[in-house]
Amino acid sequence: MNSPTDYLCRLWQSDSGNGPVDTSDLLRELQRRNNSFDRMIRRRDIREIAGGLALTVIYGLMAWKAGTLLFRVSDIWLALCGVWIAYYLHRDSKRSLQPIPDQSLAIYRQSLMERYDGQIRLARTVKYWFLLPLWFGLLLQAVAALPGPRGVFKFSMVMLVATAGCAFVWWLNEGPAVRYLQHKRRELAALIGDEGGAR
Amino acid sequence: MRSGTPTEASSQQARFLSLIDEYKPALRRLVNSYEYNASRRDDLFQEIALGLWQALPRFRGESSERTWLYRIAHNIAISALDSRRRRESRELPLPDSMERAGGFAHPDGALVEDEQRQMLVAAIRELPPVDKQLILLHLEGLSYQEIEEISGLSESAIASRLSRTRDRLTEAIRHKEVRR
Repeated sequence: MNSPTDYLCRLWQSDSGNGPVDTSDLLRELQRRNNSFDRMIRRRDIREIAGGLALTVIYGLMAWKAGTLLFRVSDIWLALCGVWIAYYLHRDSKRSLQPIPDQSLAIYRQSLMERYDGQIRLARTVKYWFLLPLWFGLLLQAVAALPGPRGVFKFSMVMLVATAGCAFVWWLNEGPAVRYLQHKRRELAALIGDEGGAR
Repeated sequence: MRSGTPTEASSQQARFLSLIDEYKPALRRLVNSYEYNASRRDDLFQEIALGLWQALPRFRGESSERTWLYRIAHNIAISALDSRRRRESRELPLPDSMERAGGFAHPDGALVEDEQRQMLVAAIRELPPVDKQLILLHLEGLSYQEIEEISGLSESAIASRLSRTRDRLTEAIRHKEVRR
């Protein structure tokens, strides 16, 4: 008499896999998807680098034409911020790519979860790698404007706008963005059977 | 897939096509058990094929071809479900009469077996993800050692989960048969 396992295996394998596969169509589709994926990665990298470099070029030119040493220093600082932010995002996006699937199922599940952890970490540390350097650069600009005409007013306005802007971005990242990512992480954990829960 | 020379590229292509040819039935069964919606099954099949196509140049034969293939197929299936979940809210499964896991009509003699297979697929779809992956590998005839290599779980954990899952599937089929 056959065991229940034999029966299940035989039943399962008796399905020969319905539907033909047109291999030439499949190959064309694969090449198309592969190329479009490469293009997407390249476009994203170019966009990030271009954004950072634009900031660098603008403040680099301003530093070139700056009237005082303090303005020049603040412009150079903000130009370097552009390079730093582009580098940081580019480095992180490389880490956040879809994990390669030829690893064990357990490690792969863990890698999927870690992608969310990485994004949560990025949102939570935005104050350090993004806001603080920019805010400091703007503070230098505001201080540089102090000796000029209506210096105190300019200083106050720059600091008010810069601080409010930074506070808003900080709140956006630490509040709604982190909550959204945690929610998505919990959903993924439920889907793949991860027992770690939300972080 | 990036291959150095045209000869390498065509040999990779030939290897890929022979893989697809050999494992097509198993991959189709795997896709059936992950995806309720018939039109999405082709998409998932293509996703898996793309994953294999991209991973093939990295395959150095350190594991057997079939453990490598099943690892990729299951990982991509899980990822595809995650991506779809993010794109849209989860759909309810269609009733069996509208959405058959297999798809072809069978002559009368094979009807009972076909229906039992539908029940098996339906019961597998309801399993938790890890149990589903383990039982699919087991039903495809992989040894415990191969399943350990693919899943990263210990043999004892695999044995205990499989035993529980087999009982659950057998019971589910029996239960549905009684209800008919």
